[in-house]
Amino acid sequence: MARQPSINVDFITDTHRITCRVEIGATGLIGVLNNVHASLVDVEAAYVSRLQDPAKIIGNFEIGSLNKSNLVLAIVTKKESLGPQAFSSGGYKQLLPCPVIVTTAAFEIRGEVEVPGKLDANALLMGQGGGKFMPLFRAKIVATHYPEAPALAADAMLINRTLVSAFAAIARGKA
Amino acid sequence: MATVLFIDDDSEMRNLMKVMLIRLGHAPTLAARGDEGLNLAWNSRFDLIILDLMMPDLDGFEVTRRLRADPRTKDIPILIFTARTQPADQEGAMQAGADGFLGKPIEPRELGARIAELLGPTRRQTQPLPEPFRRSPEAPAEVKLTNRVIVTLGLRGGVGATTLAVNLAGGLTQAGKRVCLVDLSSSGGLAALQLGLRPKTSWADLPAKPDVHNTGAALVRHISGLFVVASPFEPVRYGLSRDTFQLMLGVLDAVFADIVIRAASVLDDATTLALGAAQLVLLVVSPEVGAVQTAIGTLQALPKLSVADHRIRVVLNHNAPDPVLTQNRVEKALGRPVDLIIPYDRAQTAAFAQGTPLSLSQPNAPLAAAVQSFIARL
Repeated sequence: MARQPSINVDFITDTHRITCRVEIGATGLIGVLNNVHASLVDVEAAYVSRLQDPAKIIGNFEIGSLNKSNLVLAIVTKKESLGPQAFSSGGYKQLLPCPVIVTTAAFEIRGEVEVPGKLDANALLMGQGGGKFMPLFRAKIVATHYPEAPALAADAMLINRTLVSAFAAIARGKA
Repeated sequence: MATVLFIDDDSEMRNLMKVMLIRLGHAPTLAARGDEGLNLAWNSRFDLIILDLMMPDLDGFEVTRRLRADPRTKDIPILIFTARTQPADQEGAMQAGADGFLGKPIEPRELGARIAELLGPTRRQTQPLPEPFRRSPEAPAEVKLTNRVIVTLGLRGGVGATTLAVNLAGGLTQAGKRVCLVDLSSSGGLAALQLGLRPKTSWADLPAKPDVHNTGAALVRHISGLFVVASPFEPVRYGLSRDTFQLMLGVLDAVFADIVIRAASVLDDATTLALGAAQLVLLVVSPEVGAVQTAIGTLQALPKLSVADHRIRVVLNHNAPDPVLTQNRVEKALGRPVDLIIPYDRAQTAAFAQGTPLSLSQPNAPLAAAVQSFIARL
Protein backbone atom coordinates (compact mmCIF):
# COMPACT_ATOMS: atom_id res chain seq x y z
CA MET A 1 0.00 0.00 0.00
CA ALA A 2 1.31 3.43 -0.91
CA ARG A 3 2.54 5.50 2.01
CA GLN A 4 0.76 8.68 2.94
CA PRO A 5 2.81 11.82 3.28
CA SER A 6 4.10 12.27 6.79
CA ILE A 7 4.82 15.36 8.88
CA ASN A 8 6.78 16.10 12.02
CA VAL A 9 4.65 16.67 15.09
CA ASP A 10 5.48 17.62 18.66
CA PHE A 11 2.97 15.77 20.83
CA ILE A 12 2.69 17.08 24.37
CA THR A 13 1.27 15.00 27.20
CA ASP A 14 1.01 16.06 30.83
CA THR A 15 4.55 14.79 31.44
CA HIS A 16 6.39 14.40 28.15
CA ARG A 17 7.18 15.89 24.79
CA ILE A 18 7.24 13.36 21.93
CA THR A 19 8.61 14.57 18.60
CA CYS A 20 7.76 12.14 15.82
CA ARG A 21 6.51 11.61 12.32
CA VAL A 22 2.84 10.98 11.60
CA GLU A 23 1.31 9.89 8.31
CA ILE A 24 -1.47 12.22 7.29
CA GLY A 25 -3.88 12.09 4.40
CA ALA A 26 -5.79 14.86 2.69
CA THR A 27 -7.54 15.70 5.94
CA GLY A 28 -4.29 16.66 7.63
CA LEU A 29 -3.38 16.11 11.25
CA ILE A 30 -6.80 17.21 12.45
CA GLY A 31 -8.33 14.43 10.35
CA VAL A 32 -6.06 11.86 11.97
CA LEU A 33 -6.64 13.02 15.54
CA ASN A 34 -10.37 13.54 15.15
CA ASN A 35 -10.95 10.19 13.50
CA VAL A 36 -13.40 8.65 15.97
CA HIS A 37 -12.72 5.15 14.65
CA ALA A 38 -9.19 5.10 16.06
CA SER A 39 -8.30 5.85 19.66
CA LEU A 40 -4.57 5.57 18.96
CA VAL A 41 -2.34 7.44 16.61
CA ASP A 42 0.54 5.58 14.94
CA VAL A 43 3.86 7.39 15.00
CA GLU A 44 7.37 6.79 13.66
CA ALA A 45 10.87 7.94 14.57
CA ALA A 46 9.78 9.28 17.93
CA TYR A 47 12.10 11.13 20.33
CA VAL A 48 11.01 11.67 23.90
CA SER A 49 11.83 14.48 26.33
CA ARG A 50 10.57 15.30 29.79
CA LEU A 51 8.68 18.55 30.18
CA GLN A 52 11.11 19.88 32.78
CA ASP A 53 13.88 19.77 30.15
CA PRO A 54 12.09 19.76 26.78
CA ALA A 55 15.30 19.99 24.71
CA LYS A 56 16.98 16.96 26.25
CA ILE A 57 16.25 13.71 24.46
CA ILE A 58 15.83 10.87 26.94
CA GLY A 59 14.82 8.11 24.57
CA ASN A 60 13.59 7.19 21.16
CA PHE A 61 11.59 4.50 19.39
CA GLU A 62 11.13 3.62 15.75
CA ILE A 63 7.42 2.86 15.69
CA GLY A 64 4.79 3.32 18.35
CA SER A 65 1.26 4.35 19.21
CA LEU A 66 0.02 7.25 21.28
CA ASN A 67 -3.25 7.31 23.14
CA LYS A 68 -5.18 10.26 21.72
CA SER A 69 -7.10 10.75 24.96
CA ASN A 70 -3.89 11.59 26.81
CA LEU A 71 -2.46 13.92 24.19
CA VAL A 72 -2.92 17.49 25.30
CA LEU A 73 -1.30 19.33 22.40
CA ALA A 74 -0.06 18.52 18.90
CA ILE A 75 2.30 21.17 17.59
CA VAL A 76 3.21 21.45 13.90
CA THR A 77 5.66 23.71 12.09
CA LYS A 78 3.37 24.58 9.19
CA LYS A 79 -0.18 25.75 9.65
CA GLU A 80 -1.22 23.90 6.47
CA SER A 81 -0.29 20.59 8.09
CA LEU A 82 -3.32 20.85 10.38
CA GLY A 83 -5.60 20.17 7.43
CA PRO A 84 -8.47 21.98 5.70
CA GLN A 85 -10.93 21.40 8.53
CA ALA A 86 -8.80 23.61 10.75
CA PHE A 87 -9.50 26.55 8.47
CA SER A 88 -13.16 25.92 7.86
CA SER A 89 -15.05 29.20 8.15
CA GLY A 90 -18.51 27.68 8.10
CA GLY A 91 -19.53 29.73 5.11
CA TYR A 92 -18.14 32.96 6.44
CA LYS A 93 -15.64 34.75 4.25
CA GLN A 94 -13.08 35.43 6.91
CA LEU A 95 -11.91 34.01 10.21
CA LEU A 96 -10.81 36.49 12.83
CA PRO A 97 -8.07 35.81 15.39
CA CYS A 98 -9.25 35.99 18.95
CA PRO A 99 -6.74 35.94 21.85
CA VAL A 100 -7.51 33.30 24.45
CA ILE A 101 -6.09 31.81 27.60
CA VAL A 102 -6.51 28.10 28.07
CA THR A 103 -5.57 25.97 31.03
CA THR A 104 -5.33 22.23 31.36
CA ALA A 105 -4.14 20.11 34.28
CA ALA A 106 -0.53 20.71 33.30
CA PHE A 107 -0.38 23.77 31.03
CA GLU A 108 -1.14 27.43 30.78
CA ILE A 109 -1.56 28.43 27.17
CA ARG A 110 -1.92 31.85 25.66
CA GLY A 111 -2.74 31.89 21.97
CA GLU A 112 -5.39 32.69 19.40
CA VAL A 113 -8.38 30.88 18.05
CA GLU A 114 -9.81 31.84 14.69
CA VAL A 115 -13.55 32.43 14.69
CA PRO A 116 -16.05 33.81 12.18
CA GLY A 117 -17.18 36.76 14.29
CA LYS A 118 -17.82 36.77 18.02
CA LEU A 119 -16.12 34.08 20.09
CA ASP A 120 -18.53 31.50 21.41
CA ALA A 121 -16.51 29.62 24.04
CA ASN A 122 -19.25 27.07 24.68
CA ALA A 123 -19.52 26.19 21.02
CA LEU A 124 -15.76 25.88 20.72
CA LEU A 125 -15.36 23.68 23.76
CA MET A 126 -18.31 21.46 22.97
CA GLY A 127 -16.92 20.92 19.52
CA GLN A 128 -20.31 20.67 17.83
CA GLY A 129 -19.40 17.36 16.21
CA GLY A 130 -15.98 18.59 15.16
CA GLY A 131 -14.02 16.07 17.23
CA LYS A 132 -11.74 16.21 20.26
CA PHE A 133 -9.02 18.40 18.83
CA MET A 134 -9.36 22.05 17.85
CA PRO A 135 -6.81 24.41 16.35
CA LEU A 136 -4.99 27.11 18.25
CA PHE A 137 -2.52 29.53 16.72
CA ARG A 138 0.47 31.64 17.74
CA ALA A 139 0.58 30.09 21.18
CA LYS A 140 2.96 30.14 24.09
CA ILE A 141 2.78 27.17 26.41
CA VAL A 142 4.04 27.07 29.98
CA ALA A 143 4.19 23.79 31.87
CA THR A 144 2.45 24.62 35.12
CA HIS A 145 4.55 22.26 37.21
CA TYR A 146 7.81 23.48 35.67
CA PRO A 147 7.39 27.23 35.22
CA GLU A 148 11.19 27.68 35.11
CA ALA A 149 11.54 25.32 32.14
CA PRO A 150 11.71 26.93 28.69
CA ALA A 151 8.24 27.70 27.37
CA LEU A 152 7.07 25.91 24.26
CA ALA A 153 5.91 27.88 21.26
CA ALA A 154 3.58 27.01 18.42
CA ASP A 155 2.54 28.89 15.32
CA ALA A 156 -0.08 26.23 14.83
CA MET A 157 -1.27 23.38 17.00
CA LEU A 158 -4.22 21.30 18.02
CA ILE A 159 -5.48 21.15 21.58
CA ASN A 160 -7.51 18.36 23.10
CA ARG A 161 -10.66 20.16 24.20
CA THR A 162 -11.71 17.32 26.50
CA LEU A 163 -8.68 18.11 28.67
CA VAL A 164 -9.34 21.84 28.86
CA SER A 165 -10.22 23.02 32.34
CA ALA A 166 -10.58 26.74 31.66
CA PHE A 167 -11.04 28.67 28.46
CA ALA A 168 -11.44 32.43 28.24
CA ALA A 169 -11.14 35.19 25.72
CA ILE A 170 -8.65 37.92 26.52
CA ALA A 171 -9.32 41.49 25.67
CA ARG A 172 -7.06 42.60 22.79
CA GLY A 173 -3.87 44.21 24.03
CA LYS A 174 -3.90 42.21 27.26
CA ALA A 175 -2.78 38.87 25.87
CA MET B 1 32.39 24.48 -3.58
CA ALA B 2 32.40 23.39 0.03
CA THR B 3 32.86 19.91 1.41
CA VAL B 4 29.85 19.25 3.61
CA LEU B 5 29.25 16.39 6.01
CA PHE B 6 25.56 15.70 6.57
CA ILE B 7 24.55 13.45 9.47
CA ASP B 8 20.96 12.26 9.67
CA ASP B 9 19.45 8.85 10.37
CA ASP B 10 16.57 9.51 7.95
CA SER B 11 17.60 8.02 4.59
CA GLU B 12 15.06 10.06 2.64
CA MET B 13 16.37 13.23 4.22
CA ARG B 14 19.94 12.21 3.43
CA ASN B 15 19.06 11.70 -0.22
CA LEU B 16 17.16 14.97 -0.36
CA MET B 17 19.98 16.88 1.29
CA LYS B 18 22.50 15.27 -1.05
CA VAL B 19 20.57 16.53 -4.06
CA MET B 20 20.16 20.00 -2.57
CA LEU B 21 23.84 20.29 -1.66
CA ILE B 22 25.01 19.11 -5.08
CA ARG B 23 22.65 21.57 -6.76
CA LEU B 24 24.08 24.27 -4.57
CA GLY B 25 27.52 23.33 -5.90
CA HIS B 26 28.81 21.58 -2.80
CA ALA B 27 30.30 18.14 -2.31
CA PRO B 28 28.29 16.22 0.29
CA THR B 29 29.37 13.28 2.41
CA LEU B 30 26.57 11.44 4.17
CA ALA B 31 26.47 9.66 7.49
CA ALA B 32 23.51 7.78 8.96
CA ARG B 33 24.56 7.79 12.61
CA GLY B 34 26.21 10.11 15.05
CA ASP B 35 29.24 7.90 15.66
CA GLU B 36 29.71 7.35 11.94
CA GLY B 37 29.57 11.10 11.41
CA LEU B 38 32.11 11.72 14.16
CA ASN B 39 34.55 9.24 12.62
CA LEU B 40 34.20 10.85 9.22
CA ALA B 41 34.60 14.33 10.67
CA TRP B 42 37.73 13.37 12.58
CA ASN B 43 39.37 11.50 9.73
CA SER B 44 38.50 13.66 6.75
CA ARG B 45 38.35 17.35 6.08
CA PHE B 46 35.05 19.23 5.85
CA ASP B 47 34.19 22.88 5.47
CA LEU B 48 30.82 22.46 7.16
CA ILE B 49 28.92 19.88 9.17
CA ILE B 50 25.13 19.73 9.05
CA LEU B 51 23.36 17.39 11.44
CA ASP B 52 20.02 16.42 12.82
CA LEU B 53 19.23 16.51 16.53
CA MET B 54 17.08 13.42 16.56
CA MET B 55 19.33 10.42 16.00
CA PRO B 56 19.37 7.13 17.86
CA ASP B 57 22.30 6.32 20.19
CA LEU B 58 24.10 9.64 19.86
CA ASP B 59 21.79 12.59 19.45
CA GLY B 60 22.76 15.79 17.68
CA PHE B 61 23.50 17.67 20.90
CA GLU B 62 26.07 15.08 21.94
CA VAL B 63 27.61 14.89 18.46
CA THR B 64 27.97 18.67 18.47
CA ARG B 65 29.59 18.64 21.90
CA ARG B 66 32.11 15.98 20.82
CA LEU B 67 32.93 17.82 17.59
CA ARG B 68 33.60 20.98 19.56
CA ALA B 69 35.74 19.14 22.11
CA ASP B 70 38.08 17.69 19.50
CA PRO B 71 40.87 19.92 18.13
CA ARG B 72 40.40 18.48 14.65
CA THR B 73 36.82 19.68 14.41
CA LYS B 74 36.49 22.45 16.96
CA ASP B 75 36.61 25.19 14.31
CA ILE B 76 34.37 23.62 11.68
CA PRO B 77 31.01 25.42 11.41
CA ILE B 78 28.08 23.28 12.55
CA LEU B 79 24.55 23.78 11.32
CA ILE B 80 21.73 22.00 13.13
CA PHE B 81 18.94 20.87 10.81
CA THR B 82 16.03 19.41 12.73
CA ALA B 83 12.31 18.92 13.09
CA ARG B 84 12.61 19.88 16.77
CA THR B 85 12.11 23.57 16.35
CA GLN B 86 11.19 24.75 19.83
CA PRO B 87 13.13 27.72 21.21
CA ALA B 88 14.54 25.33 23.83
CA ASP B 89 15.99 23.16 21.06
CA GLN B 90 17.68 26.12 19.46
CA GLU B 91 19.08 27.28 22.76
CA GLY B 92 20.31 23.78 23.55
CA ALA B 93 22.00 23.47 20.17
CA MET B 94 23.80 26.77 20.58
CA GLN B 95 24.92 25.80 24.08
CA ALA B 96 26.31 22.55 22.69
CA GLY B 97 28.38 24.56 20.23
CA ALA B 98 26.37 24.82 17.02
CA ASP B 99 26.77 27.90 14.83
CA GLY B 100 23.39 27.83 13.15
CA PHE B 101 19.93 26.31 13.42
CA LEU B 102 17.45 25.42 10.70
CA GLY B 103 14.04 23.84 11.11
CA LYS B 104 12.65 21.19 8.79
CA PRO B 105 11.25 21.43 6.21
CA ILE B 106 13.45 23.83 4.33
CA GLU B 107 13.75 25.48 0.93
CA PRO B 108 17.02 24.99 -0.98
CA ARG B 109 17.45 28.74 -1.25
CA GLU B 110 17.29 29.15 2.52
CA LEU B 111 19.73 26.30 2.98
CA GLY B 112 22.12 27.90 0.48
CA ALA B 113 21.92 31.23 2.28
CA ARG B 114 22.69 29.67 5.66
CA ILE B 115 25.61 27.70 4.25
CA ALA B 116 27.02 30.81 2.58
CA GLU B 117 26.62 32.68 5.85
CA LEU B 118 28.48 30.00 7.80
CA LEU B 119 31.23 29.71 5.19
CA GLY B 120 31.96 33.39 5.06
CA PRO B 121 35.55 34.34 4.19
CA THR B 122 36.52 35.23 7.73
CA ARG B 123 35.31 31.93 9.06
CA ARG B 124 37.17 29.94 6.44
CA GLN B 125 40.44 31.66 7.07
CA THR B 126 40.34 30.68 10.70
CA GLN B 127 40.42 27.00 9.82
CA PRO B 128 43.85 25.36 9.87
CA LEU B 129 44.98 23.62 6.75
CA PRO B 130 44.87 19.85 7.00
CA GLU B 131 48.10 18.00 7.41
CA PRO B 132 48.79 17.14 3.75
CA PHE B 133 48.81 20.82 2.82
CA ARG B 134 51.51 21.66 5.35
CA ARG B 135 54.00 19.31 3.74
CA SER B 136 56.74 20.70 1.62
CA PRO B 137 56.07 19.90 -2.00
CA GLU B 138 59.76 19.15 -2.33
CA ALA B 139 59.40 16.19 -0.01
CA PRO B 140 56.08 14.54 -0.70
CA ALA B 141 55.18 11.43 1.16
CA GLU B 142 53.97 8.29 -0.54
CA VAL B 143 50.45 8.53 -1.88
CA LYS B 144 48.01 6.78 0.43
CA LEU B 145 44.44 7.29 -0.65
CA THR B 146 41.42 5.91 1.12
CA ASN B 147 39.01 5.92 -1.77
CA ARG B 148 39.00 4.23 -5.16
CA VAL B 149 41.17 5.57 -7.99
CA ILE B 150 40.67 4.20 -11.49
CA VAL B 151 42.99 5.23 -14.31
CA THR B 152 42.20 4.86 -17.99
CA LEU B 153 45.36 4.68 -20.02
CA GLY B 154 45.87 4.79 -23.76
CA LEU B 155 49.30 5.93 -24.82
CA ARG B 156 48.23 5.81 -28.44
CA GLY B 157 45.79 8.61 -29.12
CA GLY B 158 42.32 7.88 -30.39
CA VAL B 159 41.85 4.47 -28.80
CA GLY B 160 39.00 5.72 -26.60
CA ALA B 161 40.61 6.16 -23.19
CA THR B 162 38.77 9.47 -22.70
CA THR B 163 35.45 8.01 -23.83
CA LEU B 164 35.90 5.14 -21.40
CA ALA B 165 36.85 7.50 -18.55
CA VAL B 166 33.86 9.78 -19.19
CA ASN B 167 31.37 6.92 -19.43
CA LEU B 168 32.86 5.13 -16.46
CA ALA B 169 32.67 8.28 -14.33
CA GLY B 170 29.15 8.94 -15.61
CA GLY B 171 28.06 5.39 -14.85
CA LEU B 172 29.47 5.52 -11.33
CA THR B 173 27.71 8.83 -10.77
CA GLN B 174 24.45 7.32 -11.97
CA ALA B 175 25.04 4.53 -9.47
CA GLY B 176 24.94 7.10 -6.69
CA LYS B 177 28.67 7.49 -6.10
CA ARG B 178 30.44 10.78 -5.53
CA VAL B 179 32.78 10.84 -8.47
CA CYS B 180 35.47 13.15 -9.75
CA LEU B 181 36.90 12.80 -13.24
CA VAL B 182 40.40 14.17 -13.75
CA ASP B 183 41.66 14.70 -17.29
CA LEU B 184 45.47 14.76 -17.15
CA SER B 185 45.97 15.33 -20.85
CA SER B 186 48.35 18.20 -21.54
CA SER B 187 47.45 18.43 -25.21
CA GLY B 188 43.85 19.56 -25.16
CA GLY B 189 41.97 16.75 -23.44
CA LEU B 190 38.41 16.09 -24.48
CA ALA B 191 36.73 14.85 -21.28
CA ALA B 192 35.00 18.19 -20.66
CA LEU B 193 33.92 18.39 -24.29
CA GLN B 194 32.38 14.93 -24.11
CA LEU B 195 30.37 16.13 -21.13
CA GLY B 196 29.24 19.30 -22.86
CA LEU B 197 31.17 21.43 -20.38
CA ARG B 198 33.00 24.63 -21.18
CA PRO B 199 35.22 24.93 -18.13
CA LYS B 200 36.87 28.23 -17.35
CA THR B 201 39.44 26.57 -15.15
CA SER B 202 41.67 23.54 -15.46
CA TRP B 203 44.45 21.86 -13.52
CA ALA B 204 46.84 24.29 -15.21
CA ASP B 205 45.36 27.05 -13.01
CA LEU B 206 46.34 25.31 -9.79
CA PRO B 207 49.11 26.84 -7.70
CA ALA B 208 52.15 24.71 -6.92
CA LYS B 209 50.68 23.83 -3.53
CA PRO B 210 46.94 23.59 -4.02
CA ASP B 211 44.77 23.48 -0.93
CA VAL B 212 41.14 22.58 -0.55
CA HIS B 213 39.97 25.95 -1.82
CA ASN B 214 42.23 26.03 -4.89
CA THR B 215 41.24 22.50 -5.75
CA GLY B 216 37.58 23.27 -5.23
CA ALA B 217 37.89 26.24 -7.57
CA ALA B 218 39.35 23.99 -10.28
CA LEU B 219 36.35 21.66 -10.17
CA VAL B 220 33.53 21.91 -12.66
CA ARG B 221 30.22 20.28 -11.87
CA HIS B 222 28.25 18.43 -14.52
CA ILE B 223 24.46 18.47 -14.21
CA SER B 224 24.55 14.75 -13.38
CA GLY B 225 26.49 15.50 -10.19
CA LEU B 226 29.81 14.38 -11.65
CA PHE B 227 32.71 16.72 -10.88
CA VAL B 228 35.49 17.28 -13.39
CA VAL B 229 39.01 18.63 -13.21
CA ALA B 230 39.49 19.56 -16.85
CA SER B 231 42.68 19.64 -18.85
CA PRO B 232 43.79 23.01 -20.22
CA PHE B 233 42.13 23.95 -23.49
CA GLU B 234 45.40 25.15 -24.93
CA PRO B 235 48.10 22.46 -25.05
CA VAL B 236 50.90 22.98 -22.54
CA ARG B 237 54.51 21.81 -22.61
CA TYR B 238 54.42 20.07 -19.27
CA GLY B 239 51.77 18.16 -17.39
CA LEU B 240 50.97 18.60 -13.72
CA SER B 241 53.95 18.24 -11.43
CA ARG B 242 53.98 15.20 -9.20
CA ASP B 243 53.83 17.28 -6.03
CA THR B 244 50.96 19.47 -7.17
CA PHE B 245 48.98 16.47 -8.33
CA GLN B 246 49.64 14.65 -5.11
CA LEU B 247 48.28 17.53 -3.04
CA MET B 248 45.26 17.81 -5.33
CA LEU B 249 44.61 14.06 -5.09
CA GLY B 250 44.70 14.31 -1.31
CA VAL B 251 41.90 16.86 -1.40
CA LEU B 252 39.84 14.90 -3.91
CA ASP B 253 40.28 11.73 -1.89
CA ALA B 254 38.74 13.43 1.12
CA VAL B 255 35.65 14.37 -0.87
CA PHE B 256 34.98 11.78 -3.53
CA ALA B 257 34.29 8.06 -3.25
CA ASP B 258 35.65 7.41 -6.73
CA ILE B 259 38.30 9.29 -8.66
CA VAL B 260 38.50 8.41 -12.35
CA ILE B 261 41.66 9.68 -14.02
CA ARG B 262 42.11 9.91 -17.73
CA ALA B 263 45.91 9.55 -17.84
CA ALA B 264 47.97 11.68 -20.17
CA SER B 265 49.18 10.10 -23.41
CA VAL B 266 52.73 10.24 -22.13
CA LEU B 267 54.15 8.85 -18.92
CA ASP B 268 54.60 12.25 -17.31
CA ASP B 269 54.96 12.82 -13.58
CA ALA B 270 51.26 13.11 -12.81
CA THR B 271 50.35 10.05 -14.87
CA THR B 272 53.09 8.05 -13.18
CA LEU B 273 51.76 9.12 -9.79
CA ALA B 274 48.20 8.26 -10.83
CA LEU B 275 49.28 4.81 -12.01
CA GLY B 276 51.00 4.19 -8.70
CA ALA B 277 47.94 5.30 -6.70
CA ALA B 278 45.32 3.48 -8.79
CA GLN B 279 43.50 0.40 -7.63
CA LEU B 280 42.68 -0.29 -11.27
CA VAL B 281 44.51 0.65 -14.45
CA LEU B 282 42.35 0.22 -17.54
CA LEU B 283 44.66 -0.12 -20.51
CA VAL B 284 42.61 0.77 -23.55
CA VAL B 285 43.43 -0.74 -26.90
CA SER B 286 41.57 -0.57 -30.19
CA PRO B 287 41.67 -3.48 -32.66
CA GLU B 288 44.33 -2.12 -34.98
CA VAL B 289 48.02 -2.83 -35.31
CA GLY B 290 49.42 0.46 -34.02
CA ALA B 291 47.25 0.47 -30.89
CA VAL B 292 48.16 -3.14 -30.12
CA GLN B 293 51.87 -2.46 -30.48
CA THR B 294 51.63 0.51 -28.14
CA ALA B 295 49.66 -1.61 -25.66
CA ILE B 296 52.34 -4.33 -25.76
CA GLY B 297 54.98 -1.73 -24.92
CA THR B 298 52.80 -0.24 -22.20
CA LEU B 299 52.27 -3.63 -20.58
CA GLN B 300 56.04 -4.03 -20.46
CA ALA B 301 56.49 -0.56 -18.94
CA LEU B 302 53.81 -0.74 -16.25
CA PRO B 303 55.61 -3.18 -13.91
CA LYS B 304 58.60 -0.82 -13.95
CA LEU B 305 56.24 1.88 -12.67
CA SER B 306 55.21 -0.33 -9.76
CA VAL B 307 51.87 -1.18 -11.31
CA ALA B 308 51.25 -4.77 -10.28
CA ASP B 309 49.73 -7.04 -12.89
CA HIS B 310 46.62 -7.75 -10.83
CA ARG B 311 45.70 -4.07 -11.02
CA ILE B 312 45.75 -3.99 -14.82
CA ARG B 313 42.66 -4.62 -16.95
CA VAL B 314 42.82 -4.66 -20.73
CA VAL B 315 39.90 -2.98 -22.44
CA LEU B 316 39.29 -3.68 -26.11
CA ASN B 317 37.42 -0.73 -27.52
CA HIS B 318 35.80 -1.21 -30.91
CA ASN B 319 35.94 2.41 -31.94
CA ALA B 320 35.27 1.70 -35.60
CA PRO B 321 32.60 -0.46 -37.28
CA ASP B 322 35.07 -2.75 -39.07
CA PRO B 323 37.86 -3.96 -36.77
CA VAL B 324 41.19 -4.70 -38.42
CA LEU B 325 42.08 -7.33 -35.82
CA THR B 326 39.91 -9.91 -34.15
CA GLN B 327 39.73 -10.24 -30.39
CA ASN B 328 41.76 -13.47 -30.58
CA ARG B 329 44.55 -11.77 -32.47
CA VAL B 330 44.63 -8.91 -30.02
CA GLU B 331 44.76 -11.28 -27.06
CA LYS B 332 47.43 -13.38 -28.71
CA ALA B 333 49.54 -10.32 -29.44
CA LEU B 334 49.17 -8.99 -25.90
CA GLY B 335 49.73 -12.39 -24.36
CA ARG B 336 46.75 -11.96 -22.05
CA PRO B 337 42.97 -12.03 -22.25
CA VAL B 338 40.86 -8.96 -22.76
CA ASP B 339 38.95 -8.05 -19.58
CA LEU B 340 36.34 -5.76 -21.07
CA ILE B 341 35.03 -5.47 -24.61
CA ILE B 342 33.34 -2.26 -25.62
CA PRO B 343 31.30 -2.89 -28.76
CA TYR B 344 31.16 -0.41 -31.59
CA ASP B 345 28.32 1.99 -30.88
CA ARG B 346 27.10 4.21 -33.66
CA ALA B 347 25.42 6.46 -31.11
CA GLN B 348 28.82 7.41 -29.66
CA THR B 349 29.57 9.79 -32.54
CA ALA B 350 26.45 11.81 -31.85
CA ALA B 351 26.96 11.58 -28.08
CA PHE B 352 30.45 13.01 -28.48
CA ALA B 353 29.24 15.84 -30.70
CA GLN B 354 26.34 16.70 -28.39
CA GLY B 355 28.31 16.43 -25.16
CA THR B 356 25.97 13.81 -23.74
CA PRO B 357 27.86 10.66 -22.69
CA LEU B 358 25.96 7.49 -23.38
CA SER B 359 26.23 6.25 -19.80
CA LEU B 360 24.25 9.31 -18.73
CA SER B 361 21.93 9.82 -21.70
CA GLN B 362 21.36 6.32 -23.13
CA PRO B 363 22.20 3.74 -20.46
CA ASN B 364 20.87 0.94 -22.67
CA ALA B 365 23.16 1.76 -25.59
CA PRO B 366 25.74 -1.01 -26.23
CA LEU B 367 28.69 1.10 -25.09
CA ALA B 368 26.96 2.26 -21.93
CA ALA B 369 25.70 -1.23 -21.16
CA ALA B 370 29.22 -2.63 -21.44
CA VAL B 371 30.53 0.02 -19.05
CA GLN B 372 27.66 -0.61 -16.66
CA SER B 373 28.35 -4.33 -16.59
CA PHE B 374 31.98 -3.55 -15.84
CA ILE B 375 30.95 -1.22 -13.00
CA ALA B 376 28.74 -3.97 -11.61
CA ARG B 377 31.78 -6.26 -11.46
CA LEU B 378 33.98 -3.69 -9.70
